[in-house]
Amino acid sequence: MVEIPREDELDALIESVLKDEKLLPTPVTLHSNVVKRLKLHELREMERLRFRYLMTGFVITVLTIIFGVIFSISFYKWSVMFWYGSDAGWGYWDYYRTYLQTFWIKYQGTYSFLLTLGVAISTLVILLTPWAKSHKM
Amino acid sequence: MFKWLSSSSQTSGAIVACPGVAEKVSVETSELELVRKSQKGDTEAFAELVRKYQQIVFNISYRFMRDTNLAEDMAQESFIKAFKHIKGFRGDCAFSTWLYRVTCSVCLTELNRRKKRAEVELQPDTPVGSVETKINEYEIAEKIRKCVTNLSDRYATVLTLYYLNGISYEEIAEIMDIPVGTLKTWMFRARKQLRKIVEKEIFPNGRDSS
Repeated sequence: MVEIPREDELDALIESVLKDEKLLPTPVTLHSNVVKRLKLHELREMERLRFRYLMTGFVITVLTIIFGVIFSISFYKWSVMFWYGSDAGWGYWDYYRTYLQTFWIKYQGTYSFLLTLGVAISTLVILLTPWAKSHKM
Repeated sequence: MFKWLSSSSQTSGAIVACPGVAEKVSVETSELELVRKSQKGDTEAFAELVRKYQQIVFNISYRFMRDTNLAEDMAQESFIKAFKHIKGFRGDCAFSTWLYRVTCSVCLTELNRRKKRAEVELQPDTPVGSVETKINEYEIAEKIRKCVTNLSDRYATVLTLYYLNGISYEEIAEIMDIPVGTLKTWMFRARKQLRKIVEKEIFPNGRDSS
């Protein structure tokens, strides 16, 4: 039977209980488990590093291509390209406009043109819907 | 990089005549070497550090968690966390101090997480009156030890470390990053708070006035 101790006795009891607690032996599996997890961590770090190098290489390649293209087309004179170039942007516009005015139904390109227009509008709607919703809230 | 490395190498020449001290210095140097290798990602070197500190880390974890399986998990977690962050160890204190700090932090985080999920209970629902007859001294001792985990984080830490053999007052102050004077104040308050918890949890029917 355990008696309820007085304040000083309780203090002494707490002190002795905490002081007398022996150190437990280490579980035999602790070290090996830590080593296993360290190896896993090492592998994960290696993979992370590999992925980082891969992605860095990929980004460098893409940027090189983009800057290469920008660099090469920077020699072009855009106004000349547009107005007098071999294909001539303005010429394209005239070509489509004339065809659409004269042979709207018969023109083969009408369907693909309409389809492209539809896809472009749908894409814009899909892209802008979340943005519009978030601004409503 | 290592402040204490330079100070050790400076003193080693002067104390070479004392074999005991020289041995201690060489042990410290080898530990520093292991830490340095671990910082470079050498898992073998860190495994040696684990071998050296596993018992104390496991016991710190056990005293927080009061369960051997959980304590082993926490000890593992502490070592892995220590390895992940060892590059941040600047050498301002001993490696053991830093490791114990990591261990306390891991255990307290888990303990608080469990407290939030109400997993840690002190079985306070023992019927009043049957306390004296049913629980023996061993159970009381275990309950008192468990009460330590019910203290606030800082008090639980100081008491746990204080009653763990092998950690000095100064080292505890360093682990907690507080002056020794503050540590003594915390110890006093922790004991007082612990007494209140023990009274409430283990002797809920009040103290005998006689």
